[in-house]
Amino acid sequence: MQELNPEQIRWAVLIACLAMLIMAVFVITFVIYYQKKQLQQQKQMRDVEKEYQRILLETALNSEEAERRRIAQDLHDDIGTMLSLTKLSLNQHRKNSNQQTKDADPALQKVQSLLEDTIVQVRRITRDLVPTTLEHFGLVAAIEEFMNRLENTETLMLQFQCESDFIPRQPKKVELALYRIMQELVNNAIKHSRCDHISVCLDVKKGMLQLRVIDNGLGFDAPQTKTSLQGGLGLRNIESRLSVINGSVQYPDTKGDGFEAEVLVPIDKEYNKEGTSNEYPPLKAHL
Amino acid sequence: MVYLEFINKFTVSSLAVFVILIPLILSLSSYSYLDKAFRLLLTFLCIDLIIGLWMFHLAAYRSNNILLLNIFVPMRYMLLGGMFIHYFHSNRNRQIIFFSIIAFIPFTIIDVYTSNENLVDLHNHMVGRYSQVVESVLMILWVLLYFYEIIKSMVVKNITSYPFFWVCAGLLFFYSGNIFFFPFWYFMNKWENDLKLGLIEKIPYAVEIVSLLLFTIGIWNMRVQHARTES
Repeated sequence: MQELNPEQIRWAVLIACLAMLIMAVFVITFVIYYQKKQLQQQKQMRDVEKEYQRILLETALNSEEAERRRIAQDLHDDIGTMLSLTKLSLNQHRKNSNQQTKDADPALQKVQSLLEDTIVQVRRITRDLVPTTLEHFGLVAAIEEFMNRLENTETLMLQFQCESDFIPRQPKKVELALYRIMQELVNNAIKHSRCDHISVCLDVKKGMLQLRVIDNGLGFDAPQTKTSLQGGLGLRNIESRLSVINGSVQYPDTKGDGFEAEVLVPIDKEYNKEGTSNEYPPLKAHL
Repeated sequence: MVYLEFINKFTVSSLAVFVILIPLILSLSSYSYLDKAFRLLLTFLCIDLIIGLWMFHLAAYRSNNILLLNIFVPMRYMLLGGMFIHYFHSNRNRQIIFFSIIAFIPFTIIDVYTSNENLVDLHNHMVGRYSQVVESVLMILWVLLYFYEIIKSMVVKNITSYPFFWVCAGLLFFYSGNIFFFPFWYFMNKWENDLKLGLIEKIPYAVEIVSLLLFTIGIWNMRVQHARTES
C-alpha cells in the first residue's frame, strides 16, 4: 500500500460513496413517484371506463324507453283505433240485427264483450309501456295510478305512503328510473314473495329522494341472489338504472320477516325549483 | 470504564450498534404481525446486535474482531437475501436468489481463506477482500429487480405504506453507501493499519444508522397495516 496516496483514495471513496447514495435516493424517489403516477393513470382509466359504461347504459335505457314509446304509440294509434272502429261497426251491426230479429245474438254479445276487454287490455298495456301520468303529474301520481291499477285481487293489500309534503319534480330520467324500479320491486313481490301486504313509501331525506318497498312475504338474501347466475336479473337491473342517476339501493335485514328495499337518489335542486306539491292523500287500497 | 471510553472515541460506530435496538424492539413487540420475510429480518437484527455487541466488546478491549465480521457476512446475505425469496413473485428470480445464497457461503469461506495467509493467527486476521463487494452487488441487484417487479405488476396500491418497500430502501441505501467502501476494508481494518481515511471512515456507520431507521419505518408500517386490516 506504499504506492497508494491516502488523500486521493479519500476523495475517490468520498465521491463514489456520495454518488452511490445519491443514486439510491434517486431510485427510491423515482419508484415512489412512478408508482403513484401509474396508479393515478390507472384510476383515470377506470373513471373513463366507468363513465363510458354509464353512457352506454344510459343510451341502452333511453333506447328501451324510445322503443316502449313507439310500441305504445303503435298500439294506441293503430291497434286501438282499429279496435274502436271494430267496436263501432259491431255496435252498428248489432243494432241492425236487433231490428231484424228483436233478440240479441248471444255470439255477437260475446264478441262485443271480448272486444271491450281487449280494448281495456290494450289501453292498460299502453299505459304500462309509457307512464304518461309520470311525465305530466310526477312520481307521486304515477305510483298512485300504478297501485290503483293493481286493484284486482282480494288477497293483496297495497299501501302507498308519501311522508313528505313536497316531492320536487326531478329530471325525466330520474323519475322514470325510480318509477321502473318501484314497478320491478312490486312485481317481484307479487310474483315471488307470496306476500299479502306491500307498502311503497316515498320521502325526502337529507337532500335525497327515498323510495322504500316493503312486503311481508318470504323474503330473500338480496346480495346472494344478485350474484347468482339463475336469479338476480331484476336486482341487477335496478342497480344498473341507479348507476346512471347516481343512486344507491340497500336491502336492510328484515330478519326473515318479509323483504325491504331502500332506494336513495340525490335530489337535483337546480332542476325544478318550484316543484310539485304532493296534493294526493296517502292511498290505502284494500284489494 | 473501557466501554465508555470506546464510545467516546468512536461515537458513530458505537451508535450504529445501539440503533439496532430500535427496529429490534419494534419487531419483537409486533412479532405476531410479521410475515416470514420480516421474521428473517428480525433474526438478522438479533444476530446483528449480538455480533455488534461482541465486536464492540472486543474492540473496546483492543482485540481483533474481524473474524466475527467474516462469519457475519454470509449470515447477513443469507437472511437478507432470503427475504426476497418470500417477496418475489417470479419463480425464476426466487431460484436465482436461492442458488446465489448457496453459492455465496463457500465463496466467502474461500475469500476469507485467500485473504488470510495464516488463518490460525487471529491477532492479524483480515476481512475478506471480495465477499462484501459481491454481496453489495447482489443485494443492490435484488432490490432493483424487486422495484422493477412492483412497478410492473402494480400489485402494491400505496407504496409509501408498503412495509417491504422501506426495507428495500434501507438495503439499497446501506449497500449503495458501502459498495465503494468495502474494497478498502481489507486495507483499513488490519492491525498495522497503513490506510487512514479520517472522517470518511464514519460513512458506513452513518449509512447503517439510516438504513436501520428505514427498516424501522418498514416494521412500523407492517404494524399499521395489520391494525388497519383488523379494524
